Amino acid sequence: MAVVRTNPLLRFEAGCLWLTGACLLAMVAVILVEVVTRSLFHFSFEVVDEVGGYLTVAVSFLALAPAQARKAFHNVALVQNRISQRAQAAWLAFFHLLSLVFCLTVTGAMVRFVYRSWEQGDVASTVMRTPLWIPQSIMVVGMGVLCLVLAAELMAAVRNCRSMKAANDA
Amino acid sequence: MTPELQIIVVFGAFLALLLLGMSVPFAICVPALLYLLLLGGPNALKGLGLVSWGSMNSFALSSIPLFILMAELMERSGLSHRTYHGLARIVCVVPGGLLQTNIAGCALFSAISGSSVATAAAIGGVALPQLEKRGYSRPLSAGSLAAGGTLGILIPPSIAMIVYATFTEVSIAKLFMAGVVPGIVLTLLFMAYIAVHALIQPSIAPREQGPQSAREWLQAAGELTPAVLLIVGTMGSMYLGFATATEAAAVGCAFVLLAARLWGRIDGAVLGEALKATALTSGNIMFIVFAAFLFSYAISLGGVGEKLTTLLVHMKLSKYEFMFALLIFFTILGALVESLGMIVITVPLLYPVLLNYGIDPIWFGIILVLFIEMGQITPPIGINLFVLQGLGSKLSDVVIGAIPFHLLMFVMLGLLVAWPEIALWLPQHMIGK
Repeated sequence: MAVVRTNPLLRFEAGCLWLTGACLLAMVAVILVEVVTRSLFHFSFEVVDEVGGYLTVAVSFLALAPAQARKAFHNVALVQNRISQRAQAAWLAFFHLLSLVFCLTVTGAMVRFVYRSWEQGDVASTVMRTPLWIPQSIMVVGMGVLCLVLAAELMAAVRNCRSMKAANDA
Repeated sequence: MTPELQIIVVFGAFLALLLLGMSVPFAICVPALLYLLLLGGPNALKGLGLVSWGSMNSFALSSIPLFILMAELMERSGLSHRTYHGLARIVCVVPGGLLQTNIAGCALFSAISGSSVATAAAIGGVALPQLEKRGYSRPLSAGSLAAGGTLGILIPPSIAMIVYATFTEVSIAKLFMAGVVPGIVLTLLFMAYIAVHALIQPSIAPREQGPQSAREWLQAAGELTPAVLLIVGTMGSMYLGFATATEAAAVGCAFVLLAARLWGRIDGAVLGEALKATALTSGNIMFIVFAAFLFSYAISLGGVGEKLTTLLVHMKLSKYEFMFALLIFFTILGALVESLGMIVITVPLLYPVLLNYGIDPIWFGIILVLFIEMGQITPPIGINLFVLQGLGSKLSDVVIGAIPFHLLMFVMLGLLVAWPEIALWLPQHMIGK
């Protein structure tokens, strides 16, 4: 959506896409190193499960905003193809609103969860003893940027509805 | 509101949002949130942070983006194209010509990609213009590609199987191995049907000329080398216990990069495009997985699985009656709900029931994948139908052309019910866990 692409706030979305790509490459590299050292030198760093898990979280949540902005989420167009453009625009605005309410609720729950983790000094029970709030914060970042994208798309959808109504009235 | 009414409202909201066109992951998440609110008010939402972290912080799930990356690298480096052309030259001598290549190509690409949509799109994009130009039957061309594409989730690697394994805690590698023999049998069934059809009605497929000399045969076989090495390497390492599914996927990505250097094209731009496409596809699939965990959390909080088990126990259904009921249920659901959505909403509910009936979860995983495959070519929302429509086929051609393949899937289902060993033999003999 053009509105999303030109909004400077949503340059975060492009950053998320870039970071997701970097995490994918890191995932391949970390696992390859583990496979090679284990196979050839019978030695394991014993961190691959932990780091792989963190990178999975990063890929999963950082990719959300780019996927929403670039329309990568699947949807069923069966009914949408059979209704008027005005009705389509109204449904789209309604869906964006519902999605935004969901994302804000989950983001709020995640913020509380990460804050508690930081406050209590939770660390991973592994050799790395990673402070858990660090990888957990990636969820908040990913969901936060998704909220921004959804808010921008909601505003664009509402504007679209209004302009259609005005054109119809005229 | 009574618990039964709550469940009806939640499932009704899910189906309504999905059919009205809301994005699939949100159409799962919003009713899950609604159900949590119905169950315990705002207090029930307190666990969302922990559920989000606990579900997605998983090394096993990292195999999903890695298998997607592997397939994207194959596609964008030109290796998939090369593989298809090599295969087309060899397989086109079988009655049915390039229609056979559709199925064999989809089966081969399925062993690289974990997605039906990716398989149908990749092979369909290359094959359809050729089939059109050479005067092949349009319904059979489109139907064979739509049905062949569904092999993407039966022949490992399979994203659907990874998601199923994550929920049921069965070994991903064992589930992958369980898909191998049914995948090969279904491929052969599809190919046999095309051959018989072409022999009875030669007008559906012109006779093709295969390689004319030993040199040409070798050249065609050489074009298949990267894909065959990749498949043998990834599947073999899992079978022999050298690597987990995630490790096999990462090694597969590295192998494709190397193979692309030797036989295809790879530079910063190709890698960047592959990473971008992987990020977007992963964003979609991982969000559905996340939605699935939220949905599962909500229904486990509501004790829906246990209630369903009790209900079925009271109905005193035998194992075969239960399977027949599932067949009807999934056939209807497959026409309404897309593939991963089917796993997401049914597995958390059905898993306790399966255990109660003593049904092997690995065998059931393969049955479920077959149900999903059928759903992918069932109107009105079978996703592969629309992939082929997007590539230029008429929707009516795709639907009509896919019907015989749909019936063959029922045959495969019958074979799996009669002889579960078709799925269970290979995992029982693998060395890895």
